[in-house]
Amino acid sequence: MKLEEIDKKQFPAHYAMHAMQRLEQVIADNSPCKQVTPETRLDSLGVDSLEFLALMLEVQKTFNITIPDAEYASLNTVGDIMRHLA
Amino acid sequence: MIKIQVETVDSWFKDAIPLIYAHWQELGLDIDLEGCIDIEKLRTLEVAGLWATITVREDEKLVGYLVALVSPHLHYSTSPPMFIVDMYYLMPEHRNGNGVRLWKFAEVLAKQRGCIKMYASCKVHKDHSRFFDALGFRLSDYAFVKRI
Repeated sequence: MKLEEIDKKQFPAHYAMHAMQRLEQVIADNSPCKQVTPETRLDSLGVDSLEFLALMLEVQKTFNITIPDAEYASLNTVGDIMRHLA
Repeated sequence: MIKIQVETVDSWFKDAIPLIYAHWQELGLDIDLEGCIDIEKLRTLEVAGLWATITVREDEKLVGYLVALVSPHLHYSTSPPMFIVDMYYLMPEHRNGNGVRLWKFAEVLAKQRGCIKMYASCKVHKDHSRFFDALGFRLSDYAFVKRI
């Protein structure tokens, strides 16, 4: 099932599981890190600042969301990104 | 856990000396001159509301900073303030994306303090042009120096 086909209000847990899988894929495609958990630190993905920016743009494009500049300071882990997808 | 926040000049400076030294060793050009931060002047600027100190800490340990003059530009004294970054540094082991977070935090702070423009610079031998370009800055000046 595609992520876009899941009603995240009706099935939040199901959506979260698929969103995490998609996020893992985006991170794997845009960093040397091939396996992540919600606890994985973003500064351990093995990307430099430019690659980090590219990764964040890809996340926002993939999930059709905007992460405000003010939120970046509190983005420490993969789980922190997940909270923006919920 | 990395935390980025605004601090006072004093709370930054009490932990900053090793980083400032590492910063100077990595990027300083005038290594024959004594590096000596004018902390009294920074305190005066801070009290006047003309200074911003942003720190990056891992748990409590200082791992980076960005400090800036927050003031109307001398050439545009009747216009809103500008955010003129004096210096910024992240320990090498903390550069994996934290620079983006630090600069985005700085931009949010600059807007909160009413600034309409940010000034950033980097050394020619440590060119961050692509980084600033990606953050939406544009190249506007070349700076030239001459020891006399």
